[in-house]
Amino acid sequence: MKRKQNLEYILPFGFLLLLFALFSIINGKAFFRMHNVKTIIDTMIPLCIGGYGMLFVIAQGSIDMSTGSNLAFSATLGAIIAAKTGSFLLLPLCILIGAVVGLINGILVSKFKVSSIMATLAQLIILRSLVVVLSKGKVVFVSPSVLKFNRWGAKGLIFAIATVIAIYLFQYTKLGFSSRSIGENEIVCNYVGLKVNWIKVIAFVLSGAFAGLAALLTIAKIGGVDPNMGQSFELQVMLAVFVGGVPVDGGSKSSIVKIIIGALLFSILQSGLVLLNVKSETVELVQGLMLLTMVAAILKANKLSTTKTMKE
Amino acid sequence: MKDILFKVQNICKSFGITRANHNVSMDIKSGEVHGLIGENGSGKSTLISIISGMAQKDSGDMFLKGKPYEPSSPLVALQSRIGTVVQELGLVDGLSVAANIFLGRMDQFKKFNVIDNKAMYNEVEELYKKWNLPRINPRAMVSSLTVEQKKIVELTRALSIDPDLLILDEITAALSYNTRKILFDIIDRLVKENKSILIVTHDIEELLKLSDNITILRDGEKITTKRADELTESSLKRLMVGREIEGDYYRADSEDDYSDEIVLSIRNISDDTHFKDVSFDLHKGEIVGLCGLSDAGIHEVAEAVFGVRPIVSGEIVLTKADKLINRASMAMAYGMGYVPKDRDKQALMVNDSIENNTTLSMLDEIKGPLGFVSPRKIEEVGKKVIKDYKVVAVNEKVPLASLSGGNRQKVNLGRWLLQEKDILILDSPTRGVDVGVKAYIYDIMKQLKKKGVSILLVSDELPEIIGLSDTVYVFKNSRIAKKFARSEGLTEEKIIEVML
Repeated sequence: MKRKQNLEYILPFGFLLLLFALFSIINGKAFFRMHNVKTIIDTMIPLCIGGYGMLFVIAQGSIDMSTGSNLAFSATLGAIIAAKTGSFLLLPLCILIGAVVGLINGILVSKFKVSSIMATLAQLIILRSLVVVLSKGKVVFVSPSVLKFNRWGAKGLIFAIATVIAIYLFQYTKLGFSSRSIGENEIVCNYVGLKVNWIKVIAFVLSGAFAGLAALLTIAKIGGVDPNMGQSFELQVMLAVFVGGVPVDGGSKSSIVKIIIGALLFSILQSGLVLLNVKSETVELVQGLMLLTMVAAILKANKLSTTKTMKE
Repeated sequence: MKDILFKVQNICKSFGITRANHNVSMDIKSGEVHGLIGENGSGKSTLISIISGMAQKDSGDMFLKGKPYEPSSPLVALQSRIGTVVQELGLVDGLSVAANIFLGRMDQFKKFNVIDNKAMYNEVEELYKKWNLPRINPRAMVSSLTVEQKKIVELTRALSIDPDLLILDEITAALSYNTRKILFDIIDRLVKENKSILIVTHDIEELLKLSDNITILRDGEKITTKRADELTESSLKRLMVGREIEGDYYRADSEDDYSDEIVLSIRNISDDTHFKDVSFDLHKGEIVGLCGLSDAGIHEVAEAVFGVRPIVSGEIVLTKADKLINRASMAMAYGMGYVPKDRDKQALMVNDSIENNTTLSMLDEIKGPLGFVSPRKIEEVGKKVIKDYKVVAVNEKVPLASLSGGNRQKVNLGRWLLQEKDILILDSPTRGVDVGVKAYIYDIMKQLKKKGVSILLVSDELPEIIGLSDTVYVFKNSRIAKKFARSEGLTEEKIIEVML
């Protein structure tokens, strides 16, 4: 029997096409100019990368609020260390530092049973203040060679590799399958002998590592480390993840493709509105409204489709 | 001639194209126990939801004491003194026991517009006393209760209205032996007060014992209503299924029969609260049955053997690997499978698909290098479990929530059987499934035994334990009280004597 496509996929995708059509009519040529397309992709890439890591956590029914602060922290600490050891180490350093922060989050959540929102909310505050302490509140400059990462070739390659790794890990491995299952029912996972605590730790480590990767791209883009960088980044990532149709409580309906669609939606909306000279507060208002509508619509759609299968 | 308390006339109810109830009529007299029976999906639960106001009928009439009765919500049914204990748990996890009992009716405890909790708790204690129910702290959160305790709370709620008609849907399956006795006493008492009971159960023997009249449903239609003393177990089964059930239900041999090889050795395990100093061996091809009263610790022992529940002393030795089991992941890796007691909470991801649920227990079995889990394989095992274990489902992608209890249980068992495990721990494997599926599960167990698989069977149903086990361990007060070997003379009475 042919698999039925779920509305939760169609909705965000349809909305994406709709937005695309809408802005290409209103903005006309300006929307398709190279500059605008680049802006869209530029906004999308860090959202996707941040989202890939966070998806493992969200799929398990937890949340990682520390992504933005972790980004700033791994950027700052990474840049300070790299300034002494050589800038070629910045990439692995950022990822490693991000992962270590994730490891701490993971241990807090799985070993000490702190709820994920509490643990990572505390981290959000702690890491941000550490950033200010480390950088003394000033911009940390990095070697100009780091700017190479902002070239389209490098950026594109990093994005492609990250996407392939994320899709592989999340959709096609035991780790990804277990993560989704934990979101469906954690007790069941314990009863079939999965190492639930261990899988939770790995999810937070991945979330941190991807935040570290996003940190590198952000450094490359702005040419240095600003103590305010990554401010409310986690919220934008979540917006992209949930607008894309990932269920708020995780489970087997979480997927990487949904994040890419969500991130595209977010960035097209942003660039389209900016082209129309809409004020940034209004852009945020529209984004918030979009999140509400989408989450409500997907919930409704899911309900419809389950009652339908029940009747079959 | 007793007068009729409740009358159901030509009730019809459809879900989409499925006719759940079609022209069902039934009379319940005052002071009778009326049994309702049928296979899974025959429409019993639908009929009960209609009577208790949880679902609305499409057409037909109902009369209570001769007056038309149209419950628009469960609250209306309660006000009409019809109390129901539903099959699926109908409690709010995050509220206290007392709040659940008086949910929607708390106004009676209002004092200056504030709920007087103390009065409510006292009222609950009164109810326990009045009906001789085991006391469950009325302040406790429902989420902290066991399945059995939750059922008792639901029963208390149904009794709190002094029901004229008490509806019990599949309640005994969740109750242990001693609580069942309490329930039967309550039923006797209600009957003496000329109240009526409508009872649904898969346990045919029990139904015949309890009921005065029995209505049989099949495929949403009423087959007949008969007096219980005109029916026998086999004639009732025939009426339910519409054909002869072939073969024996339980094992035909009456001697224990297994190899000398010990596969699993439980040595003096204790967890200090639920079980103490438990030791037994499981041999190749042996079915070991554990039974006892509700607090005897048999289910906890099963959890400990699989490594889900920590033990404080003693050891669990897997002979083949010469390993001590202390984690579920280890038990899994060394060829053990575990079907826990609470199917929908501990075993299955109810909102997820058949294929994902099947895959979950066999991730290590189907994963390739680098932890690769291929979607093709996931689909394959999903298809296989449906085919091999005769699961009735549209395809392997549908959520388990859309399947009946019996079919869910087939998935639950099938996913372990697909892996050819050497040791299976089955905790209440036939809980809430109909005769057809029950016979099928017993059949599978007999086949497994023949293949040399060792089974640890934990069950509250004594006929099942006696009918299948080679060795029976009876638990009392957290310890093994007595060991019985399979024999002709082993009867329920002998076991009960030890249990009490």
